[in-house]
Amino acid sequence: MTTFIEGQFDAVVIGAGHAGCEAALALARTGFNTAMLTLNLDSIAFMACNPSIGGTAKGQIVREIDALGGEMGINADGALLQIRMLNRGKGAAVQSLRGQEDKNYYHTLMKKTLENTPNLKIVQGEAVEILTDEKCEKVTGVKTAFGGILECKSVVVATGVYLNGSVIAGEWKQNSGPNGFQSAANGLTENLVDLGFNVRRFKTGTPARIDGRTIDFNKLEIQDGERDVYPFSFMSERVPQKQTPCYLTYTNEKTHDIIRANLHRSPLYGGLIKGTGPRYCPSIEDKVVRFSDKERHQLFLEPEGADTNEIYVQGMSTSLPHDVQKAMYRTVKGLENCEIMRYAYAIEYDCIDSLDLYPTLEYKKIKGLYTAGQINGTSGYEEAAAQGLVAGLNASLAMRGEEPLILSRDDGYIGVLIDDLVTKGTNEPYRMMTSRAEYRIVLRQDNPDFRLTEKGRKAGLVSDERYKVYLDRVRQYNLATEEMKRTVKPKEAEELLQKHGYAKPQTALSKADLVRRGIALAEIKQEFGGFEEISKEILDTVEIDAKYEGYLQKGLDQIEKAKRLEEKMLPPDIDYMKINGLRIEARQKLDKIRPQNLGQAGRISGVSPADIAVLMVYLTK
Amino acid sequence: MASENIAAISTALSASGVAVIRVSGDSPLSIAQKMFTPVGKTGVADFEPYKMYVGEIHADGFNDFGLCVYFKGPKSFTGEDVVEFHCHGGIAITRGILKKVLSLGARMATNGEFTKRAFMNGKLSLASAEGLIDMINSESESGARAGYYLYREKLTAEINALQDQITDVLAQIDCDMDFPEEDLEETSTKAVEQTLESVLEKISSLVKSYRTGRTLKNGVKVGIVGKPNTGKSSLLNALLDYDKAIVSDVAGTTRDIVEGRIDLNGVRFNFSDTAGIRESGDKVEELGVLLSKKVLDESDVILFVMDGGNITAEDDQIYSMVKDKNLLVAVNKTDVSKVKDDRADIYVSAKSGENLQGLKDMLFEKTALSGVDLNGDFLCEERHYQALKKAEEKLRSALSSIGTVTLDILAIDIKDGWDALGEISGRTATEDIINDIFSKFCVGK
Repeated sequence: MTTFIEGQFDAVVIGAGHAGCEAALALARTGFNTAMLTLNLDSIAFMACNPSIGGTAKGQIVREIDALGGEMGINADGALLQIRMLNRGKGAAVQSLRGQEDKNYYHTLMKKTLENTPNLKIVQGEAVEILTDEKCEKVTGVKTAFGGILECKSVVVATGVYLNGSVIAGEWKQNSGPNGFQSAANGLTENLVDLGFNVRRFKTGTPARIDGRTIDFNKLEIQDGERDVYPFSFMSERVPQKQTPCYLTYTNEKTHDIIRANLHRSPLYGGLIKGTGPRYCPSIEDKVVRFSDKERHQLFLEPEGADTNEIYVQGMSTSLPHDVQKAMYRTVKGLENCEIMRYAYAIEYDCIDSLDLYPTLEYKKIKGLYTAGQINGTSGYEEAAAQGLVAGLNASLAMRGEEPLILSRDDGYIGVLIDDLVTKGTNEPYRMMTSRAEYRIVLRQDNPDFRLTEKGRKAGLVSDERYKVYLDRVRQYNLATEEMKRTVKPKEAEELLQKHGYAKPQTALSKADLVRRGIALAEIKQEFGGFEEISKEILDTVEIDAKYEGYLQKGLDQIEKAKRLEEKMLPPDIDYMKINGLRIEARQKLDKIRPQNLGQAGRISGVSPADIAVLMVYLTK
Repeated sequence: MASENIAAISTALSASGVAVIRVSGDSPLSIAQKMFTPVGKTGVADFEPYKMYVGEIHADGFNDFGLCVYFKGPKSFTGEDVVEFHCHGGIAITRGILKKVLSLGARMATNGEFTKRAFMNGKLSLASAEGLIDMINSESESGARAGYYLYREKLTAEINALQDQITDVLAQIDCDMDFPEEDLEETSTKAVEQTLESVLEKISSLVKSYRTGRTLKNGVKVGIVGKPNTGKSSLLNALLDYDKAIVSDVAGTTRDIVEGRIDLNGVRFNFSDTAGIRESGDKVEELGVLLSKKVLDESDVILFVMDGGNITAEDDQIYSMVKDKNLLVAVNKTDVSKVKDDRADIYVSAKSGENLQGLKDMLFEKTALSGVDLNGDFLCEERHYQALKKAEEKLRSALSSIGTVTLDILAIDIKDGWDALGEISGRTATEDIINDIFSKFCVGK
């Protein structure tokens, strides 16, 4: 094929999903001439699975992306159908926002933002080859299937599930991206293998979309949104006051009988699907087989948009054949007469081994080549977007010759995510959970800007406007913290304390003391005044900080302690294979991953504390 | 990895029947070749591993007749090639042989270097290494057993099992928090409670066994008090003389003046005597000196000695200061006086030896060890004790806060408890712990 120069760029982003969008924006917004290559302009920021953003731990990630100057939070706020705060009863550390999104509008809004971003050019086309210099040491461009060459210094590969994607339902299988979109099947995987990547195959799935007019909602439990929560982004005013409900329903024995009777037709059990699927997001046939004693499985009916009747059936993803799907969906209460508009399917795709990456998400073997999102073995829009931002911003920082942005595990969930990917790797699609974080009491979703906005500012991604909002929040926080120290005279506090069942105070108590005794800050404010001009969000943060003070301090102490190991650097030329005290598995893992410090080494699976002890002794030799 | 030959005297440096000089490294056998002449036909170079050969050890300026044994790495203590010379005991002989070894190219081993190499070569786990130090350092049979407990990693296995139990609870809570809308059963606080209670029960019993373990390891401290001239020293000498298994006149640790040690039922008893300090001056003040708070506080048993022929108000004063302690009152000098006293537990004569065996039996009964099966397993490492105490505290705090705090906070206390246990099992080894362990190794092992 005739090749031609499509254009000269600083950077090319392959893919326009949630990772690609953030990567492209991070590059363009920091001044780099960027091209975004996508198979189909109509699939930009497409929500291929749930029409929702956030959820436990993921909600935190969205807020962190926002605090760093990313777009996901703003876009999600703009397309909200409903928003809720999860885990209200389980503590501030694990509360998360989850928003239902208008899928089409989410895409439209993001596309609009991208189209109007200076320095960014969007091109429809399939990347088939990443071009490097002769020694295969650094990136020089990207070639499209049409023979166009986009010359550049940095490439972010964010191909999602499109790379050699194939869609499966029952005996039917075909090469395809999600939702009938074309897959990237023209040699990019082979090119990645040539570049030295270890390519693997993962699998995920999605449930059916059904016609809302054929659902009997009267039979179902309704779940409304909340109007008095804050939005995802610090830049958004407030959440919509008119929200669309979701509905709850359950599978039953009849559903399970149909599934069991047709297991032999499942590609999962028949061997047609070879990719590794996630444990936490099993298909309904998986749930029925693995938890056979469970009489029912919960399903969520989520609206796909404001201008469509399509309803997403969360909890019922499957790769069973269409005739079986039709029968089993109709066994569910409320869905007896349902009409399926899009059938469920499983999708297999190629991804790389994230252990081949630096914490900047740059590929260890080729300078300027970054990967982000599902290609790195993760799942989820939020995980993808976070990586896109980190990859894009680091590509930008590298081109500027500045220090990379490496978030640590105590900076945020994004730090946890990336450290896990490049240190532990993953053998199944990786999803963020609060339990993956050691310091979740610190990594709350009410304070991501306090943790990250200065870093985002330093890296050049936080706009003046956003920085102003942040500085005002800091100002309010400081004022409120001072106010918390103000004491209340014993006599004045007496009545309030007694109302809550406490004895008369002997000495003056600070407002923070009162909070620690379990009295709500709102009540204290009402009783004693103060906290004028402090937003409700800041009051929440101040209240949580006071209430959890001891635990927070302990968390910070632990972070300090952990830092000591992080500071013990491992020489890059260390020959692990020759350290006899290390177990064989540890030697191999260390040799492959080549951790930067002892802290990172300790988190590698297969490296035990005893191995770390050996390394410590080795280092002191 | 090239490894220098290191050498040290592996046995105590004192007059003894047999002593061992150990060499470990890449080529200890080549050193042996130059300083050992076997009696048999097999030359040193052809020594079969793990077999003792008799012959002449050529030391620095003299020869000794002894044994040589070759351990081939990795099947050796350090995991490297090791050669041991078994020679006659005595400072001059052992030093002479070591000197020769060093002159042939080996380097003097630093503190704990053999064990460190064993650890580096994957021959020992951390807990094993600690247990080993205890075994080496313990001077009585029971002490060695308590060390062995660790060495066998039994403790590690127990702690691992406890950690697994806690992991289950944590997993349940985390699951509840991470998947709030999955129609899972909510965390059953009852189940959490039950698990924590069962774990705490085991931790408590381990913590309790520490008192015994520590006593087994360090010995029982007996503080002898009494006004001057009641015969404390002669009583002590009599006790030491009476038992032939005496280690006498051992210059004590810096902590206290150990006048003597005896072994009772396999347990070491250390006697501290602060008597005879008083000469003159203000009485009350001197009593304070006499019954120094340190001795009173640190002793497991207080032996109060009175002179049967001379019981005075001064004795009353001393008695009133010690009567709340774990006290044994002995009235001495039954050879002189047969006077009775209400406070006396036993009447003895240091001079005639009367009732000394009875006094020993009573001393043993006064310890926490009385009635304890000393063949059991006991925790004896201070570090492990502290870790268990911390785990106990955290888990108890978690247990008591169930229902009053949110799950995220509950999980923190439980996780802290888990981490504390990890300090023993090694599932969370910190640099501090490792440094501490290695600084405690003694040369020669």
